[in-house]
Amino acid sequence: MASPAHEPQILKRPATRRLVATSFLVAFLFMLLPWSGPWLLLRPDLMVLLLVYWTIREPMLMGGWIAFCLGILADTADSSTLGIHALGYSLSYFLASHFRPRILSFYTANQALHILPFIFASQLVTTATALILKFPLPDWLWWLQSPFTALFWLVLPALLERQGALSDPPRVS
Amino acid sequence: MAIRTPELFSRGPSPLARLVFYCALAIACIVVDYRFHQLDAFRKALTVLIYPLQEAANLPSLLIETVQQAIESPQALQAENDLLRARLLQEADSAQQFHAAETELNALRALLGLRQQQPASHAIAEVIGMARTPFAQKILISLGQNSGIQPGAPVISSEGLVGQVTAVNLFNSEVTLLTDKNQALPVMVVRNGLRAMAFGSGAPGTLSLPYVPIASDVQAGDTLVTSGIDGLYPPGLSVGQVKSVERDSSSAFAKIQCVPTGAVLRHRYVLVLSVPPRPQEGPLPNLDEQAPAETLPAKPARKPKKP
Repeated sequence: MASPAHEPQILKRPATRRLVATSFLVAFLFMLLPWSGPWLLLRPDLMVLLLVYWTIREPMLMGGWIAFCLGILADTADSSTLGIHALGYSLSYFLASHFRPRILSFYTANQALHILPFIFASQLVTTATALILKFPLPDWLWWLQSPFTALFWLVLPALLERQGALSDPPRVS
Repeated sequence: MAIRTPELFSRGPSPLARLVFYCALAIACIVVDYRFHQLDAFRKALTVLIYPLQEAANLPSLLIETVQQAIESPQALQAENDLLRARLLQEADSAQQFHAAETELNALRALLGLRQQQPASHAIAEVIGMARTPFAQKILISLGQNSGIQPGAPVISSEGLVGQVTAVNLFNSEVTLLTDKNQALPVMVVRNGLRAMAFGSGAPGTLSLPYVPIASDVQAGDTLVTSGIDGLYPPGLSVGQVKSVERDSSSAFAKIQCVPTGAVLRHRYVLVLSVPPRPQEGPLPNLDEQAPAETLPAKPARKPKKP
């Protein structure tokens, strides 16, 4: 992530398409693990987290249709009605791209707090749709999913950012 | 690496218009899938596509299980083996009696000119895991369309009825447990033959009988079995045990909670029964001539829904 304005600027190399695609693949595999019981309710939604992350970090690579397709994939993986996650993810994408300049001006920990509403919006929309379709509300642990997901924001820069090297001149993304 | 130049002036529809478009598309998807079930083929194709990933994601737990089995002591395995042998011997008695009774029943049915009971075919399936949706009670089993599994088929375990196949993919199927909120089945109290409808409560491990009149003879501890009145579940399958009966004079119905015997998530293997042939519609067949059974698959008792 870009550092706050009063910090010395460290130039970040732009992420490649391959890195973005691989990160989504790993998040999808994580989603497909055999979760059950309370762990299923607490399972961090890394797909929406990465969607928000890449929308803020590499807006040129992301788009509304990617959010929609990821949502349809998540619905298939979770064997839920097609479109429920797509609705939530589309909303998260819009919020992330709208508030992108504001988020970029914070430290990583502050960013985690600020992206929490985007992730929570997705969860809220998903839950509301399920309730409208007359499905029972899950246990209260379900509401801890978004904060739990936002915690993973703290480790994302370490995993996905590469500092610029002299041999390979960096560009501002 | 391609240089991406940021656009100074955004072209195309505004972000808000795009959001509205994608939300409308998602809502259309939800309506078409939930209400009209028109996206089943699309979902099936997607499931086949993600099947290799699904298998890859199951590898870690499979590995842990293999290691656990490898380090399990031979004594424990021997003890389990002995237990199973003893149980088989106990069951052998009732199985033989059952066969004799079945032959006798079919002979009597033939005398009366009634349709013979079709022996249900079955397939043993491995439970892959729980479906990953927090809104429904479902499990995934290892047999699918390639093994001839039909939607609507009853699924049982060694303890009793587990649920019903609600979605069949190419290599696996989804079984909705009895305890799912959208499941209902006709049951019978073994003690006195009282019939009732049991509904899933949405919470794991609870069934409720909401429409039993307050004066009915139901007690805590009563055993419930399927009544077979719906023509889908064979009669006599164990469903559960009545846990509590509350009679409130302000309501016409008693509040009855049950504990399911089979619909719990601890089985490794389950048995998928075949969908019984649909009974002939129209006027009743003449008792003197034997009516051939139709081979149309029966529809599930309730259309399965997905969150």
